[in-house]
Amino acid sequence: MMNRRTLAALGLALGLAASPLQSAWSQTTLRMWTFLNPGGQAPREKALKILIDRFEAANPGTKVQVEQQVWDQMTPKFFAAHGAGNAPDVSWVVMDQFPAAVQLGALANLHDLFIKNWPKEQVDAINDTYWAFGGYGPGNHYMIAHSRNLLGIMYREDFLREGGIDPASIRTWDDMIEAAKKLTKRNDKGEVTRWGLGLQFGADKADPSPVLNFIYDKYGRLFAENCKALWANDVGVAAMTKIASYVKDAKITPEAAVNYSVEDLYDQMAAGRIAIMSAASVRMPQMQGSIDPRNIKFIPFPSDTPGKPQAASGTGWAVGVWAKSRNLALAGKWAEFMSSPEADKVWVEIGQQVPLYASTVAAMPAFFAEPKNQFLAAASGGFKTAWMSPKNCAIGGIREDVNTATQLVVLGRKTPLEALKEAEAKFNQRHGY
Amino acid sequence: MSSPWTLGRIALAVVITAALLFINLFPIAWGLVTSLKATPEIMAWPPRFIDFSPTLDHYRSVLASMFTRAIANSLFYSGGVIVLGLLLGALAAFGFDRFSFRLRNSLFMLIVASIPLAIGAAALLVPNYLYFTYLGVTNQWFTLVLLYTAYQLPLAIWILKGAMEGVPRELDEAAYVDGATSFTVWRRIVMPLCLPAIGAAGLFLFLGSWNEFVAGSVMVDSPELRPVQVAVYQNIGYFGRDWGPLMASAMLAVVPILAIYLLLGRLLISGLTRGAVK
Amino acid sequence: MRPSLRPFAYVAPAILLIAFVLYLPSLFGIYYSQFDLRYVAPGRYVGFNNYLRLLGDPDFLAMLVRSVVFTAAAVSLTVALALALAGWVNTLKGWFGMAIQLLVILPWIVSHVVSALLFKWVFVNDIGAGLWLLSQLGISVAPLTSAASAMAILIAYACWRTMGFAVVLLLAGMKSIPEELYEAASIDGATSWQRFRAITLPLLKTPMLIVCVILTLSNLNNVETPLVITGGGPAGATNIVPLDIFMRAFARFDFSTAIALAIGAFLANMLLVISYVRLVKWRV
Repeated sequence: MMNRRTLAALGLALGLAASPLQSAWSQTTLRMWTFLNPGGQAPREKALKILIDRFEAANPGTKVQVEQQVWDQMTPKFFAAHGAGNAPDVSWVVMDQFPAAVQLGALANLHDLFIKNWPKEQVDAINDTYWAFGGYGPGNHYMIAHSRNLLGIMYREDFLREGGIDPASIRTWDDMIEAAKKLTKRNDKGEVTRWGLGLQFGADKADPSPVLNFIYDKYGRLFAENCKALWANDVGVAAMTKIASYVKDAKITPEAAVNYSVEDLYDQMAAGRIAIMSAASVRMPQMQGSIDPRNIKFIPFPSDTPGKPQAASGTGWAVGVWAKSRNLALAGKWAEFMSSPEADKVWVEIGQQVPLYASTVAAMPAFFAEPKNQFLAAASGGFKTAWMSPKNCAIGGIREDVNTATQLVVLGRKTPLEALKEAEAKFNQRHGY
Repeated sequence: MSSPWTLGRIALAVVITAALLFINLFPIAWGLVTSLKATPEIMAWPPRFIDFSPTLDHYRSVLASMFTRAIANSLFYSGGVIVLGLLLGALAAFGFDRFSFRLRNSLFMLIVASIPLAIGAAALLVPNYLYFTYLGVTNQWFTLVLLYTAYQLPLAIWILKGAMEGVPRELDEAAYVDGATSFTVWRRIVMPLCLPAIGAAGLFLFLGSWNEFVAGSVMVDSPELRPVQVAVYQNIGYFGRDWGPLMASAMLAVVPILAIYLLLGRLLISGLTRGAVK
Repeated sequence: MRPSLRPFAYVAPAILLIAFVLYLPSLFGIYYSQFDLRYVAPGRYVGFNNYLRLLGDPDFLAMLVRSVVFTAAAVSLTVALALALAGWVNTLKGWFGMAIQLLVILPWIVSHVVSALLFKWVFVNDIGAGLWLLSQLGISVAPLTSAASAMAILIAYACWRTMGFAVVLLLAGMKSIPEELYEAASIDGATSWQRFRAITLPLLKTPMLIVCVILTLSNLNNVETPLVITGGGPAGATNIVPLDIFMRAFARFDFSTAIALAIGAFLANMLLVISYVRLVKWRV
């Protein structure tokens, strides 16, 4: 028999219990996995923080919780979390593994979530190689590419001018090599104090080798229909021979490159010991921290055709929504906002990222003309000829295989043909092609 | 062993100290110097040892990105590991040392054999992650305390057991005669005589937890739960290796350990000495 | 509580924690390794296929040999140097002894990747401050271009890093040896070397065992060391088991063979520890 006091106490208890529930209902937390830390001091991280603040202000009751991950563990962890049923609502997936993510069914169809509502102009402005990569036929689109990265050439403008070379005169690959030869400096003891051409052949933390660019330029593909590697051909052998000669004969590339990771190469550049090197466009902001932005520039790899960029590797991060997210619509809204023209301006202006939309490029000509932003426009242009990982083939290990082959050739242990054949065999065996 | 300072001994001391200074201190000191250099000067060649203008910018930027939270988290985790590890370890060491029971050897072997599991392989990361997720143990405030305690427990047990071996059984017998329980014997007789070893085990527990990185980055997602090593390593990312903040955060991360070793270092050696490693 | 159950009450909590956190996940790992892991989460059941594919790798045997060579060299070198160093530190007193101890443990207490990066930057890279200092003195070195020198650098780093732990344990062991034994031997006319061989070494049996076991396991399984210092090069000359596991999993996304190798390594480790202990006829 409940007396009034008990009833009152019960009512109070229920009321107290209900209030956290109340706020839980009106507060939704979206989890996102990325390698960026919104509390961090880097420009791109500040850009992310601005976008999060704007989104939360425009959608009261929503909180975007970023769970920063270690970038090379993030994608496998996402796949595992998908299997375990507790993946985040939005995740960044490394571009090479995007096709696998789609195969796994881990990504939601962004077309249904928001792309179908986009005006035609917006779709046209974003339609490029990356957009095509994210699409699987009409009505099926699974990612939007962020942190786009083009492999190309970084060079020291001040060293070039000092050596009497006008950067605009470098229109072909051979032009670049000639310049590199002139820019290699030695001291009185005959030791090299500045290398003309910086390349890296280390297997760990490797960038895709220029050998692949040559092959792609000529044949338009690096893999057969059945995914077998197609590298041991005339172009591959010629390219490998050329590169080995830069170390052994022309001596414009250090022999230590056999063990360089990309990090070692960037350190050397920061120390002023390299004039021209193969590099990733995303690293320009970091380089600008060590070298005056007027002196360090980025261009796509020059090909054998004057003025036409060589086909180079285009990578980046595929931002997608988890297919089994419990907040699908809201996650879609956040993904859409992060990839909107408005957000693009923030990513570009504050984060120094390559723009997603052609309209962004058109709207900010003064910005892109500044010396420290020159690389963004250059990378943007280079993406048109970039090659990306094939959608139906897993290509894990391609960088290590080709780099190891290069090491063997430079060290004189194998001929280019043998080394490339071995690389093909290793690659095919690993994937079972 | 106090021998007089002969010329030969002094020469030896000088040579070894110089070698240690160059080989051990110099790289770490270089890291400290790097953390105080402005970014453009970090990679300058030839290397600049003193002719640079020092700046605290990297420290400022590190502290502005939730680094203090990471340090606080790690202090909590390491503290928890010390408490839990010493408790479980001391009880287990007592059980192994003072009692003889059929499974004694095999169980102790099990513990010793688990050391490689703690040192672990990178690829076991994924099944481990799945396993702990299924158990619902990931991303909680106690996740890392539990994991780190398990990782460090074998060595702690080994050390504590060694110390207990040096405590004479007669003391136990006397207490039992007076009607004490085994737990009282553990608490009032054996443990107080093992204080140095407890200190040593505690130090190892702390060091192992403080410097652990893999579990801290995989098993825990929320930024509020991240330990200090993960915060240090975030300076090595997709966009490059940020030497300045990396060194600044690494230097900050090493301060607590140095402090503890300075304060309790003597305890470490003597704790391992008293029978622990006999 | 029944007397016969009492020891289990003491031992059980630790055993249970170790079982749940270390053993059960590894058993799960063995189960997990029998699936197709192309997408990381378990797919189709494939039995021992992953292991067979691993064994089919032409470099597999060479990599095992390299790992054994590296570990054996690193452990022997570290223990030998640590014994000598601990012996010397044992004679020091007061603040000087403490300062030397701090110097010795310094590389061991800094975050692993950071200490590896610093070592590499200072002593290995051609733009290293350490190498520059040496070149000023006329010594020039180019460590990473040949397989032998790369392995030597790796071993040197492993030594550098783990020396602190070894010295601390051996020093503690030495301090527990009673002075009287040494004095008696001196009176009998024994030289320092004879004293060392006859008194110090035998009484250091347990700390030596602990040091050897832990150093072996550490060098055999540590991924940061090869990853940062050599990256496995040149041309795979320093590719050892833990690095191979890491590269398979995170660089090539080949989880199937990565987990097979990891399980293999884990079983080999267990076997190693148990045989070590058996060999030394160590009883609890």
